[in-house]
Amino acid sequence: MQNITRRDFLKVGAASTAVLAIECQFGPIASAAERFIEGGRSVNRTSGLPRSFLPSTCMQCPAGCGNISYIEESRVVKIGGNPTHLSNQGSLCARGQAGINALYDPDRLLKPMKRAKGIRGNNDWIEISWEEAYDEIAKTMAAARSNPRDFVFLTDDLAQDDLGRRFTYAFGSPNAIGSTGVYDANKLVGTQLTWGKAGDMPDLAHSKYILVFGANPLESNPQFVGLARRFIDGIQKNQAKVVAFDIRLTNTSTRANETHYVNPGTYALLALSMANVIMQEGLYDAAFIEQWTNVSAAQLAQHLAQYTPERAEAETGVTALVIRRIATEFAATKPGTTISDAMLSNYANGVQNERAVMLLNIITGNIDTRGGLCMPVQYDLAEPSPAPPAPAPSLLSNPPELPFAFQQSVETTMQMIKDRKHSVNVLMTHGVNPVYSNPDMGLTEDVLMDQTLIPYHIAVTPYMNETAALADIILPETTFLEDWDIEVRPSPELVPYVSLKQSVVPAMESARSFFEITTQLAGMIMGGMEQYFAYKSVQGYLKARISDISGLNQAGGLDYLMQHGVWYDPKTRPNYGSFTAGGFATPSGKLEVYSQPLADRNFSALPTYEPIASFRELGNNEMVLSIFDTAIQTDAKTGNCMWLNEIQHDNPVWINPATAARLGIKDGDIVKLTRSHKSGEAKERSITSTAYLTEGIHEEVVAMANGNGRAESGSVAEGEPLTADEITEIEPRALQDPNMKLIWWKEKGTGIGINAKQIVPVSPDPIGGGQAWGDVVVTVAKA
Amino acid sequence: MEHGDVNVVYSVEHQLPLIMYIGQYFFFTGLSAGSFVISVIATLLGRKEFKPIGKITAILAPALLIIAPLNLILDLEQPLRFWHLFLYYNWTSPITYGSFLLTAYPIMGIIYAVMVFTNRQKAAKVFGILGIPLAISVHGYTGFILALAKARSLWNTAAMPTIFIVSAMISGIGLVVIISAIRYRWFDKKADAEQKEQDKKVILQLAQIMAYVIMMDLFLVLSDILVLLTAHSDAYEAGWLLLSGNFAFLFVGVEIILGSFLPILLVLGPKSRKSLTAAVIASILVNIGVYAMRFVMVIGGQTPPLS
Amino acid sequence: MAEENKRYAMVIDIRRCIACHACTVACKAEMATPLEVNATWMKIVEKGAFPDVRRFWLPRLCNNCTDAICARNCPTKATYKRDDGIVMVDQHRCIGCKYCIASCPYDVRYINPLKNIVQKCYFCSHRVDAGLLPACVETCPTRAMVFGDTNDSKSEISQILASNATVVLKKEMQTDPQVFYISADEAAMSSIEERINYYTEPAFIKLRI
Ligand SMILES: Nc1nc2c(c(=O)[nH]1)N[C@H]1C(S)=C(S)[C@@H](COP(=O)(O)OP(=O)(O)OC[C@H]3O[C@@H](n4cnc5c(=O)[nH]c(N)nc54)[C@H](O)[C@@H]3O)O[C@H]1N2
Ligand SMILES: Nc1nc2c(c(=O)[nH]1)N[C@H]1C(S)=C(S)[C@@H](COP(=O)(O)OP(=O)(O)OC[C@H]3O[C@@H](n4cnc5c(=O)[nH]c(N)nc54)[C@H](O)[C@@H]3O)O[C@H]1N2
Ligand code: SF4
Ligand code: SF4
Ligand code: SF4
Ligand code: SF4
Ligand code: SF4
Ligand SMILES: [Mo]
Repeated sequence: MQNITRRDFLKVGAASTAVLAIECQFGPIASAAERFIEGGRSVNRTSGLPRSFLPSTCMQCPAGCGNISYIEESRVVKIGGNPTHLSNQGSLCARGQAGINALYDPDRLLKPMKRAKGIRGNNDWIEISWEEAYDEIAKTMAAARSNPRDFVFLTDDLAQDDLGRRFTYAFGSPNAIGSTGVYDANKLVGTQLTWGKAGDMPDLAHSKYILVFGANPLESNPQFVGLARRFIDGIQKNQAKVVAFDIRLTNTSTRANETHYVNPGTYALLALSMANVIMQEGLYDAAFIEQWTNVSAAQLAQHLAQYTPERAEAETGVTALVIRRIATEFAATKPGTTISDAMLSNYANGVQNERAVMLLNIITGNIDTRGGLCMPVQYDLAEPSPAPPAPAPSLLSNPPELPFAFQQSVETTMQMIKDRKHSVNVLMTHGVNPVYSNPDMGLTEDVLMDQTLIPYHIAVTPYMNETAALADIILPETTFLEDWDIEVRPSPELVPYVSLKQSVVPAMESARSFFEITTQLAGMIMGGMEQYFAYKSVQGYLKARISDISGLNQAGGLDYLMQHGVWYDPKTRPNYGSFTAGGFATPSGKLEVYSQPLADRNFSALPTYEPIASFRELGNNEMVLSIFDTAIQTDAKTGNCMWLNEIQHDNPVWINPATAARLGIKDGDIVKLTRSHKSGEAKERSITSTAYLTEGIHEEVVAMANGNGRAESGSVAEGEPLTADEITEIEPRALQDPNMKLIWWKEKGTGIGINAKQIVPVSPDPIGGGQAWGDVVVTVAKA
Repeated sequence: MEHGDVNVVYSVEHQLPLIMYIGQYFFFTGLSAGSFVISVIATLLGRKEFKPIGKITAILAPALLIIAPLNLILDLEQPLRFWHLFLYYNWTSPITYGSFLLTAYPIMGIIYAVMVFTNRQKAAKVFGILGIPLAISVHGYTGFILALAKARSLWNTAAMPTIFIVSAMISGIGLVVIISAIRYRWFDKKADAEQKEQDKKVILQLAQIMAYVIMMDLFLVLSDILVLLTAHSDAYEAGWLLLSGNFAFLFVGVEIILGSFLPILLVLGPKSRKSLTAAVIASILVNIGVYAMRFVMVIGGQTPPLS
Repeated sequence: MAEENKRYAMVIDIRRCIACHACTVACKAEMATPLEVNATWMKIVEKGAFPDVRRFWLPRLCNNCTDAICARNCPTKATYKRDDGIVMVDQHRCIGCKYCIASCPYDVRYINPLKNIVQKCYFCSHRVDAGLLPACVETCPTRAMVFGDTNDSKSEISQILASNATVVLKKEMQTDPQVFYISADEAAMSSIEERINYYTEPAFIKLRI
């Protein structure tokens, strides 16, 4: 811990004294306090005068870091990190810094719009007033009320869309479908089944040995800033050894002591063979297995015996020697942990992958310990009463063929609607862009284009995007910097906190917040809906959300949050080993290495490796397509941010030079990726892009970045500069930005890339229901 | 890609700050300085046959030097602030000496021209002698501008100012040859054949002097390149940039072959040495070569990325 | 204004840097830098052959050199050095002759395409004067950047400099750079091994002829 010597940088303001008080407990926070200068101030560059500021929460990705907006003349001029926020401790990533671009995007939608006539997607819009828009929607929805269960609401889980669910339930429909299904559903299901809680949080900063299974915490992670810092701390301060398994070179694997390229889709085998070694060599924590799992060591050893390192070598590509060595080291070096994220479980065998990797931590006793794999901690928020009762489940909300899935995922929803297994009268999309983000973009597009499948589509969004382009009516929503909500996220510091998203500047023009939209619509649709939206202000609603958190309410409740942005109980410490008090929240109270619910449904009850058939028989030109996230963009969310697009606007196809030589492809060549044809498919799904030859990728894999190739998302995302005249025509003037004429990446740069997701087939893990993003096999050829 | 290559994933932006205006500016100051020196030499020698040349060049020198700084000002991102150069001068910057030289030199040149035209021989000589160091400095300092940017290996050599002065002489003489030849051919109404023969001889002599100066220039430039090729790695790269890189055509083809070897052959070659046409062609080629040299130096020198 | 007896410098610990570009964007926001140009940027190279391949990176910004060639060569003293070592550009005095860009050995200066003057990183002197850290340092998620006064032997930066091997860029240029790197890779530091490929943005290498 560095001592605080930089006196000239340390003029600790009132808000940070609480932080300093617990300095010895939270090393990193103390150093954040050192960096905390009177609220993380910002000054005007010419006058040197301090700027006024308001703390809030960054919504550019699921991490929900604490940010501070600096304001001059009611305009946000700069966004910084909130030093007292437990997760990011004063730092913001590139995307967080660029939040200002999201607020002042000249292509923001500021008037409700109605499709003029003709077919959807013809981009023929007329601006209407809110009254007209509400009138039309209320009329349509009131009529649809006779069949309320046909209302479908597609929403974004990143925004913890409680209002959307409330609105849907109040309407009488169970179909509030979040996007969990397209991302970490399998991880959530795997962890839930095993330790009774969805998700995990590796305690990287205190670990001595970190096994990275296809995670990339130094570029993308649901807790990006917090985990990146703790990962580096683990390596540097704690001298942790890091072994990375990936299919390509990442910033994380560059920082690892060892990197091993794994054949795609074989994680479970790799993990299970390591577990096998640990069991065979007697390196396991016998007492822990005995006391805290529902299997015996002997039973487990017997099950694992089939996963010999030699078999693993043949299928994973990692040598038996390495597997033995790493397994032995991992078991011998305590504490140790694995880190994995969505890409471990984004396979058809995803839940099993997740459980296999968890097993490594379980048999070595690295569960919920300091430096081990911990359970996620976060506060629960109250459901303000009166709460609408949850309508009976539907095919969409609780798909019978996916018994463990939390809900139907967006992409299977589309398939069901297409197959007319569930009819729709009104579709509302909010904060999601399934046409871009779903697998098999063509499918979602086809469904949304078809008026007989979707008679009425309302899009609530601040920006035009590929999905809103297929709406009948668009309601311009505020951005996260003009909106209110309470955000609780799994804390990287393992101490729960409550973070406030508040409006730091007045809503731009006539944009309205989702709270206003749902409340006002409910008040017009009526029929009992309105009673659930009786809060006069969003603040009243949020007060009710935090009413159960007594410590916060003692500290001042919402007022405290409005001033500080975040609250946590300064006396709370990471509650390692919480299970010793009352057991795990599973039916047996133990870690369910053997899962009875899985057995009941005829799935393998013990962690098992299930090979992905299509990967085994790759043809000569066939490769596995991997789509990865980067530190610069969050999926399609940040596509309107010019500072980010300037850095990452293109996503060429990574190809290993050896593979490229075999296929006759040179750096910069145009290549065509065609998805292997599935029966019953109308269209061939293929994309073309530029080849980028790099040594940093597995020879059987091609990889592309996520978030590029936007088609309907405005000038910034599409790389189209504006002329000076066009800029001066933009209204309101606050959105006139001379930088718009400098947009260079499409014309003078390498282009805007292409959306790789459109060729990914819809394919959920049969257990978790999560989309198997990783399972795509494509034919690669020079175009 | 070869195995083990370094693959640049993200590179640092590399701007080429100085564009061809600067090269053009160097070209025009060079012409001016060159013609001024010739004019003064002609005046000093005091020989009657040199008189016309002395007059032409006395006008050319200041006239060219009025065009030259226009290029400079056009190159400024803030042309209306050019006066900052005089108000906020910085004596460690070669541009500062340049701005004062650029003011002093044309004044001197105009005074000198007036003396020449009003036939005040003595005064002309005095101002001419005073003006020569100015003329040399005005052009030499441009070499310093490049030489003092030490990160650019192509520029950062002690030979740079000399190379600039010598090439200025070449292009200056070339211009004088061209203009004298035009005067000789079309505007000189003298009946006296002997007189005309004399004039032609002077022009041919000038051309020959030009050839010898070109040889000197070749020696300087080639030794400069040789040293670059044996110096540190950045310099080595810069040397090869001229010999085999993007600038090889302009440097080897235009500057060396077309702009140096060919003119020497034309002017000194046994067949063409008596031909006025050959001398004029040689002078045109020389000027094309020097212009190319300015381009290669200014743009080529900035091309290698610094990071 | 600049206080006496201070000497500001920055240390970037590449072992902690994750090439996240947060510094790039923080700077863009702080300085209102237009598109096309950047006061700080990452250089990233890949070295080795599969499977022994790694990336190396280096955040690049003005070194605020003690012997700043840019300041020496600026004809109007628009570029000047403060007593605390920060190299400034006076936006109102700069005539845009670009000689400083040509003079700087590090490719860190640029012409602001909206204002037509030359700019670069100046260690966020407006923030430093207000007792704040530079914007990039403040936001760095992994605390890879440390900024402070090297004349104060007790400062964090002095202690880091005293206890770690550091390098500067192009030492041979005798500019005495004040941005120090810990564990920087040679290929990432050098300018000659450059092999521009597809992913490298060609638009960033602009020929303004
Ligand atoms: N092949 C492949 N496909 C993937 C992934 C992958 O890794 N590979 N990732 C998957 C994952 S993990 C996820 S989470 C999904 C994400 O997919 P989605 O849940 O669809 O989220 P985004 O792609 O971020 O797009 C959200 C849209 O919201 C809009 N938006 C931005 N800011 C706001 C705001 O403040 N309010 C509102 N209302 N709207 C806003 C933007 O226009 C953007 O188009 O994509 C999935 N798709
Ligand atoms: N900076 C940033 N942060 C983000 C996001 C973002 O877009 N950008 N998105 C957010 C969201 S919505 C989500 S869901 C999470 C996603 O976060 P992650 O789950 O970490 O997802 P990815 O970054 O797509 O993939 C992680 C790594 O898995 C590797 N990988 C892919 N397939 C295989 C395989 O078969 N075997 C092995 N061994 N490795 C493989 C990829 O190369 C990549 O390096 O991050 C969240 N945070
Ligand atoms: S990690 Fe996510 S929440 Fe945190 S600053 Fe970056 S984009 Fe914002
Ligand atoms: S913000 Fe920090 S970690 Fe990120 S690239 Fe810059 S120096 Fe490196
Ligand atoms: S890095 Fe370049 S611009 Fe910065 S002070 Fe040094 S010489 Fe000047
Ligand atoms: S461009 Fe401006 S700062 Fe640079 S040398 Fe010229 S006047 Fe000085
Ligand atoms: S110190 Fe300030 S100006 Fe310099 S790179 Fe960092 S943010 Fe930009
Ligand atoms: Mo996600």
